[in-house]
Amino acid sequence: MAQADEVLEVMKELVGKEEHVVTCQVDKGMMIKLPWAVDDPNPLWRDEKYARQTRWGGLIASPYFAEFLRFRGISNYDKVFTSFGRPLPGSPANVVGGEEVEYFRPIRPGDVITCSRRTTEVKKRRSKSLSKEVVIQTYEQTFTNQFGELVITHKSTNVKT
Amino acid sequence: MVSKQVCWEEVEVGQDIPTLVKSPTHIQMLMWGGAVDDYNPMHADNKVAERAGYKEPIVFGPLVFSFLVQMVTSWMGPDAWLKKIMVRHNAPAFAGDEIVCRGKITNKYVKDQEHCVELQIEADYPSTGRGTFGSAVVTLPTKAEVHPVPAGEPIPTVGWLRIRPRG
Repeated sequence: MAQADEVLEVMKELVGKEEHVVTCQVDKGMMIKLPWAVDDPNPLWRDEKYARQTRWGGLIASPYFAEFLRFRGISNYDKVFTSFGRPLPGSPANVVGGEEVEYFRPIRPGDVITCSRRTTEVKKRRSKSLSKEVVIQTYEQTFTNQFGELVITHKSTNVKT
Repeated sequence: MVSKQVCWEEVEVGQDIPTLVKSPTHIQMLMWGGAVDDYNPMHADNKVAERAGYKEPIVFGPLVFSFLVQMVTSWMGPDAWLKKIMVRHNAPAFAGDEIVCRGKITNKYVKDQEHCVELQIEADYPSTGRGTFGSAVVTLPTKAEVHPVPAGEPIPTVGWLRIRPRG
């Protein structure tokens, strides 16, 4: 059996299940580190004095902070690094194929964000650029704050190669 | 650069927003991986990348996504809100590639009292062409709603990112 078939078989079990529900208290350091790494000079994400004078009244997280939260959503440091739950046959590499993110409310320092993830689809496909069969996993992550309000939804397509 | 606020009345369908050029290095990939807690060896280990079918470690897709976010949010100003963004990665980028991010306004409308603008966005890599493409929706303030933009300096590049690899 080809590796893609074996991976598909294991991953099918994930479809529809809620996984990796974790809670993360956001601090300023986490928020600031992302624009630092992106090399984004926008002071709204990092300069408290500047941010206080905007309509937001203080620092808010950059939209790509969702990238930190979604990895937090698959890593639970209080316990173990859970990553992909269980090893997949042949330990395929994971590449992000696409993302769709919707933002409902700003995230501020001190917010407590709960992340959950649900795989919506797994399928096998022939990759033209890699000239081999790969498994495509589509999953949705939902982020809510300490008031139970929806903050971000994130849909992601991942290629197991 | 963030010194200006774009108002809804000022934009028109067909307008381009300012292009952003980024050149990620291996150091930036390390910084990104650490900042988001993504230690996927695909972005650091040559053997893992080769086994997956790539010539060398690839730039994180979410980092390219973030470059596109940077382009849109730098243009729109602090009073605006990025509502939605979608990207598809067609081809990988590699460290040292010059990534050219572009955006164009494709629609403008009012919905639920929000003044929205849709953009088509893309990131081109000279080596592989149109690597990443997608769309974004932004809400802009009207001239009647806009707040004054505070004085603020762009935050300078961290030292490690100013070091470019030699030829």
